[in-house]
Amino acid sequence: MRLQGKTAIITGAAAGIGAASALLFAKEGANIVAVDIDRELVLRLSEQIEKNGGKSLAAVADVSHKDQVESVLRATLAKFGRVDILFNNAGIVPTGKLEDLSEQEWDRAVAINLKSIYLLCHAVIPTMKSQGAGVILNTASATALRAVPDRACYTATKAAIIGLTKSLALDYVRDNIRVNCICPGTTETPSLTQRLGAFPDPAEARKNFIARQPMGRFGTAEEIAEAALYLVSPQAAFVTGVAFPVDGGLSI
Amino acid sequence: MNLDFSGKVAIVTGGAMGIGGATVRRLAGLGASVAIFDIDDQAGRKTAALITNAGGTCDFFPCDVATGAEVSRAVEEVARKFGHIDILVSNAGIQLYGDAVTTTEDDWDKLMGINLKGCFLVSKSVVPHLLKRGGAIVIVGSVQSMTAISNSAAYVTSKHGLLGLTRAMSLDYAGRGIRVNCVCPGTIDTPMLRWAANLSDDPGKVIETCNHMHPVGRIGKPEEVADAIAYLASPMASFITGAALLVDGGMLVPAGGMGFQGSGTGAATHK
Repeated sequence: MRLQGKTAIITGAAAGIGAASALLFAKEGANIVAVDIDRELVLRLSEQIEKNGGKSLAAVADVSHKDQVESVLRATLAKFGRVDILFNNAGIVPTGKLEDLSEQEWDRAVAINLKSIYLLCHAVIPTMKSQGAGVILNTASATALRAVPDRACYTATKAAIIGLTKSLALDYVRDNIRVNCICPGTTETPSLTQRLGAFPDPAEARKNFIARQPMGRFGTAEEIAEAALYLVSPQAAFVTGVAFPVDGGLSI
Repeated sequence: MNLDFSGKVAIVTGGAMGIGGATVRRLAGLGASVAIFDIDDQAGRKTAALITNAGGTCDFFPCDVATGAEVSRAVEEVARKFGHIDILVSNAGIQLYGDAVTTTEDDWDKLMGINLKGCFLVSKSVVPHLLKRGGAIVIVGSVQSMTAISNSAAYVTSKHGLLGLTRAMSLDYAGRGIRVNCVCPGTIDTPMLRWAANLSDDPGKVIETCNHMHPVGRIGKPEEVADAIAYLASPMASFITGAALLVDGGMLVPAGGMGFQGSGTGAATHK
């Protein structure tokens, strides 16, 4: 088991890439702190992990709020005593061109997608430093490498995450903390289903979304979770500061 | 083709000094009517006066780019005064140092508000005007839009974000007559750099290190960045959109930085 004895905090853990990663990391022996704003879903996920024989703590929190992030860390240390892995995965996808995007939508997306990473790292890094090691993984996006239409705010936050990833990698390389990000392409998740559902003809929209995929299909949450597992595992000990596309060639 | 901005109206945010000030002077010198957006009232008025005294057209609009209401009011004033808007140079920015732990939440919010959200807010107000007759946006990023320097978590993050916003907007408006590009300067001799150097006990040594970091052996001048901005804003760049143009004296070329070039692999084979 590649994560035996490790404790991993995963944000946005209730569904999609977060949930698939939580299940996979748990299978590899990690204690999981599943963080999400959706109480019902995150409790269900946590139960599932326990049922599979793993250890899990469900933490209901809005990761854009400092006090809630700090209480996640306190609960983590109280239950598991350490934090080895921080997977900043929580995010939302505001859509539309910039002129149609309200200031409130901009602020909310920047708070959830970007500031949450600052808040979690700010809280967790001192613990990782005192432990002498740690791994941080952030979820950016293939859109940060190549733009797609109607995602101005989303793309700005995701490109900024790559910048933050490189900064953190450099600042903490001597503290034995590795920091990387994954850049998923369009992935089959509840979030995608919701976005497609917003189109007048969801089936047509799905066809159009698939048409732009070089591989002719979406990724699965499990495929992204495998990339996440690699980057947080000891097998990636020499990898830090990278933006790793897992996108079926979308960014080519 | 010559660079001629006669009849064009340009907004330059952070236009009072540094790269913004040089851009204001360059665009006005090439015939544009230029609107300076800045929070520094005194410096903004002084730069505008220098240009009008020399026969150019320039006006100062006090504006905090992080505040949506101030931005939309200033943009509408420009449109009223000059009749239309053709060019936006989104340049306003601040620098703060700190890693993810030592950066306070207030500092993070302040820097993101000016550097990243400020660009969003100004673009949001200016784009509807640019859609009327076509136009160009030039965003001032940084070499730190692509790489990082230590202890600058918020700044690096904001500059990466600006490159994302450049690409996103370039795509959204590519078919509608607006080009959006990003210039990525290396170290430039500006008041911001002097401020940063003066945080050290030996500012001269900091500047010397900066000089050495660039393969050309020196830091850049604000005017050299202003020239790149003028090019990207001009019809000479009519087929360029979504691009990131390095103006960095070769800074990002050497693997391992300039130190490695003197003593790393390959160094011993210098003839």
